[in-house]
Amino acid sequence: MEQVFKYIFAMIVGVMFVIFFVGFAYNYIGTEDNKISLLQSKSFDDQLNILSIAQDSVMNYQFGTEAALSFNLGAIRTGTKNSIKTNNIVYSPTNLKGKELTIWTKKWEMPFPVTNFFYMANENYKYVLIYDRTSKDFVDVLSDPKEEIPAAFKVVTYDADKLKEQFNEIRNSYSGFSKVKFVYLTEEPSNSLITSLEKISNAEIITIIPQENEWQYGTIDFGADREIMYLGVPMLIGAIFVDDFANYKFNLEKKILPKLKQVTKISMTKADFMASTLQCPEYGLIKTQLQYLYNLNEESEPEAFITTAKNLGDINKEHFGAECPGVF
Amino acid sequence: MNKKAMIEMMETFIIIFVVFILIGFGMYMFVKFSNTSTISEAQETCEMSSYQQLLTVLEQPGLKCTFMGSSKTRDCVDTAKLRAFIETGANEDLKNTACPMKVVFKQIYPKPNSRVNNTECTYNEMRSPEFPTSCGMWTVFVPSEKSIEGKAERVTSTPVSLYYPHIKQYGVGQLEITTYTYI
Repeated sequence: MEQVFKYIFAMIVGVMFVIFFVGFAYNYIGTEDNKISLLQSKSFDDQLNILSIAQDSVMNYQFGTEAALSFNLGAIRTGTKNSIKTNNIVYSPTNLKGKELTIWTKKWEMPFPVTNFFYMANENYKYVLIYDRTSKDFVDVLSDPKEEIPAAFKVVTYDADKLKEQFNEIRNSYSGFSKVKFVYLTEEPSNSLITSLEKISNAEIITIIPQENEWQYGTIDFGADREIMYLGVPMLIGAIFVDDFANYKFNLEKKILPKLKQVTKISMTKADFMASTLQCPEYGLIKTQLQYLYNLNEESEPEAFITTAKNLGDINKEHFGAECPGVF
Repeated sequence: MNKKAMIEMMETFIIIFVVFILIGFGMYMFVKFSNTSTISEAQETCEMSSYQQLLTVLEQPGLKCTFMGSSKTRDCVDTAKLRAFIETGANEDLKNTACPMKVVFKQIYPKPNSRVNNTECTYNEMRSPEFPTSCGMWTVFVPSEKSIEGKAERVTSTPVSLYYPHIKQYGVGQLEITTYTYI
């Protein structure tokens, strides 16, 4: 009887040990995973910060092993653990898996440098630009690696008139990608073709609707009555690389416009200071335009932003010189 | 229960107790070692972050000299914008760092008068006829006293070109980043 009691006792103690060690190991692994995930996210964000020094730069980021990165509503996450908030403005698929990643950065000016945009993708994503006679020249520039989108993103272009004939070929050759984004830059996108493209399981379609010939500003139609403005070609390119409407809207409303306000406020404060030390009425003139730009928000027309930026650029160039240094 | 069984039972309890103490001690050492390694990693991240900050602070669109609105900016810091950067609260963006940091631009040449070395270059000071020798620094960001309590200081600095647009002159300064770390 005593022996039996001993065995039972030993078993209880043994089970307690096992539970204790397994629990400890499990918690430790979880904590380490969290730590590694946070360090990786922070290190990646630091890389973006360093890259933001550049005016226009492209980088091939190697992870060395299969990695999963997530960019969603201003947060970066590696793996499945905690995310960190980033000040950087990223246009990319929400979840990127792979051993490497292409990062391209471009400065956004309004008319002074405001911030850098980061565009990211890997070989699992395909971007198709569709043009017609009205947009061919612009699409040529956009897809030319020497001018705009780097070759690493492997952007392809199609003539809208010929797309119908090539539809089956496109559907078959792009079926292996995680996502194929069709970007319409045409005067009147064909509804029947859009409907056909929408039937492709991994396809997403957006339409760029410019409000002037230079494609400098306008509206992005993400479908399902989700339209939103773009200001400048860097933001238009952002719409090409962004995963969805929510992330584009978040970047515009929570990051870009507040940053524009912040940099405009700095110029306004500088203009005030300059006006108080130098006898130059031009500072009053530029201050009025800066104030106007400062007051614009997500409800304002894109034209108002671009026109004010153009006016500001003109005033800064034409009215200032050696006696009265420009504000920016 | 007889006496012999009780003694055996006591022995077993004592052995288990000793084993628990040994395991507890082992785990204490393990956690302590693990903490040291985490602190060391935090320290590395912190130092990396200060170098990164050193590079990026100078490139902040709100600080860098620009010329006629051109994207081709000059390699200098516009002190009128620097003051505006501080006063408008744009410096709050620098809070997002791995560890507390103090970011200061110091005036080196023209050399400030020795009694104003630690005087902040406010807009009032910048309007003074003695400027740029009337003040010695622009404090971009200072962490709270509480966040740096008991922490070690690491100072990283780099020379910078300063531009004073209101007097149309250039000077030499130093960007100094003090990082507060655990070890």
